[in-house]
Amino acid sequence: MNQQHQSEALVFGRYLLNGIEPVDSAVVLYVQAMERLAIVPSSDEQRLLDRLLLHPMLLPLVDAGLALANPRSVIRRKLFVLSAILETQPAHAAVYLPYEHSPVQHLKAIFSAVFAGLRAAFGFILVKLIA
Amino acid sequence: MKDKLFDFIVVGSGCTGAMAAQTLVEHGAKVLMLDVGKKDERYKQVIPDLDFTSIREQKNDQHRIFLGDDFEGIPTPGVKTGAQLTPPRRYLMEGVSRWLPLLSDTFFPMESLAYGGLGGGWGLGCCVFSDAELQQSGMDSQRMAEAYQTVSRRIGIASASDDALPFTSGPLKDVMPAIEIDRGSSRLLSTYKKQKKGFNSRGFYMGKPALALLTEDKGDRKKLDYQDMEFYSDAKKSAYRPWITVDELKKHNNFTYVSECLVMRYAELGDAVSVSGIHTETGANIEFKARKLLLAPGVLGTARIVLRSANAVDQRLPLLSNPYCYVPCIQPRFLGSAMDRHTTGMAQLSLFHDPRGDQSDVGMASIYSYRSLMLFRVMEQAPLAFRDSRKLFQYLLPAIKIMGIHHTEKPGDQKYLQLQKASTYSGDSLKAVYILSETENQKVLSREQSFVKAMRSLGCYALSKIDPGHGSSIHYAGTLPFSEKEGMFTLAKDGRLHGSKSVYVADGSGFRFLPAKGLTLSLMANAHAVAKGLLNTESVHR
Repeated sequence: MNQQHQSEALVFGRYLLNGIEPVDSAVVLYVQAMERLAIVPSSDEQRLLDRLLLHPMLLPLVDAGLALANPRSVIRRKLFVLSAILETQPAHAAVYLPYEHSPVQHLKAIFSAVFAGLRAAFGFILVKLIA
Repeated sequence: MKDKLFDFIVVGSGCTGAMAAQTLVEHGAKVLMLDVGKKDERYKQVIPDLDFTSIREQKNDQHRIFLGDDFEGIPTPGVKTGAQLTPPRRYLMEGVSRWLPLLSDTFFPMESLAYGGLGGGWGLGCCVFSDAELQQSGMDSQRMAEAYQTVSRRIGIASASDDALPFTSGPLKDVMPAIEIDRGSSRLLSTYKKQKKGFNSRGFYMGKPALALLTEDKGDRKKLDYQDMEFYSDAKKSAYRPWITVDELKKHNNFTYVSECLVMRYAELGDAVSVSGIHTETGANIEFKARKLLLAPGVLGTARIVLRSANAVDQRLPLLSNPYCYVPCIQPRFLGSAMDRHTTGMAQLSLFHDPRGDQSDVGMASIYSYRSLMLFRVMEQAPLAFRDSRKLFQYLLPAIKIMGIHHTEKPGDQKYLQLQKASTYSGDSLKAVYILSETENQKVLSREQSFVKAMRSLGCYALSKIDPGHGSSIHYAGTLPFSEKEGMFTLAKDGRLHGSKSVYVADGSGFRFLPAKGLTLSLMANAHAVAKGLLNTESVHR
């Protein structure tokens, strides 16, 4: 199995699932998808990708920044493909399927939306600085 | 078979080909159907008989259905016609880029070489055109009235007696009870009913859609089980698909079905017509003969065959296609709620805009709930980190309604097709130009704003407008318009191609005007009427 793609699946998976380890089947599918879909980063994107694999705590900001600055970047594409794969794993279904929110969860969702907007703004600045 | 003379050759197995062939076969005519006939051989067997949520919670191999074995269900960036097709429906577009070359910077249609044609992906909406609409389209109201009833009985239509009825299945008899709709849609409908007077005074009418979706068993077809898997599976045949009709026709001795045959051209030979094509697997030339030819491969396919047969390179044919956009809306009341486990992914509601009150210029919006096409397809649209986007849409999803808006369509100078010489297998390619005039654009925008306002009054707020490009309505017509006068590249009212003795067109090529209402039921009714008219003038050899 391609080691680089395997590392991406694990690091990106933990990020997308809020720290939960992605199931093995998702990792295998991600490696297959990268081969079939031929998503190849440019040298600049590869450098950023390597940095993100070394420092995963940067992922939320870089992902958010790229969503505004360069939504069609290879890193966003890779995250999108993994997100689609994770959604089809029964083990992770609960984090994708809608559920009845309690009043506290409603509040939490509203705060999350506000933080998501702030993260996008900070991420945008960070991505521009890196570029 | 090459030397056999059939009564009729029907080209295409889609909604119009299937309906015309059924009419002919039931009257004893010897019918040959020529079709490429691509099928889904890969996914049909792996779709479990479970509801969408159960599949998501339980099935380890669900990625095969939702993403595809080659991940073809993960959309590439940008919004394109057909991008919403799920892996089990991708066969609808198989072989199209190779066999049906089309050049355009302004028009992005969807064509199909599938068994059952584009009907395999039909949204199932059924609307009877009003007399005013039929007149503008060039069709005879009386002839169509009987045809609508026949087609409705054949395919099975579920419809409600509500405010949408005059725009949907109005005059049809023998309709089934309407589908059950989800909580969010019920809420919209009850709000509409409370404010009905105000809506009606602005020309808006809302109700449940008429759908070719069974709510009662019909022969071996089972009633809808609300598993929300209609975008993936037709296993129980609740939704009408043209291949159901063709499968039935194959049981008749007077019906012959030939697949892997792409019809290229025809030539009239006295009282007969010779049809030549290519075998799509071997590349061999093939030829068949009949007393009459019925073209029903879809409007663009018919244009190719007619222009090629007349050697009319560079001849312009008018082109009609309903302008279309979709508007994701949010119903705040349902934010963060659970979703109904048992529902349907097909249209939940229809909203009509009839400002003149005479059904001559009706706009139509179909309202859908969003779930079975998966979260990942919408997550990509948000300018947020994917993790934030996932959490946000998990919260938003039960409150999301998608409003698909269709507009009426008339011919224009900058809307046409041409056959051009090209270095393709056939030596030609269809060129399409489609540019709306400034006046048309203004009308489209103004109507979209009216629909957005109407939804806002119902407590449902537009988030954005997505324009998938011209041709995305998958409604095409008007290339060989109906005409009382004999003239090249026009049709007589009975579907005969002017200037020919034996060539008839059973698809939407003749429609001179496209109402905003879905046209599929009218296409099928017209195809039946064309076939029935032929039977009346032909002595069929039994």
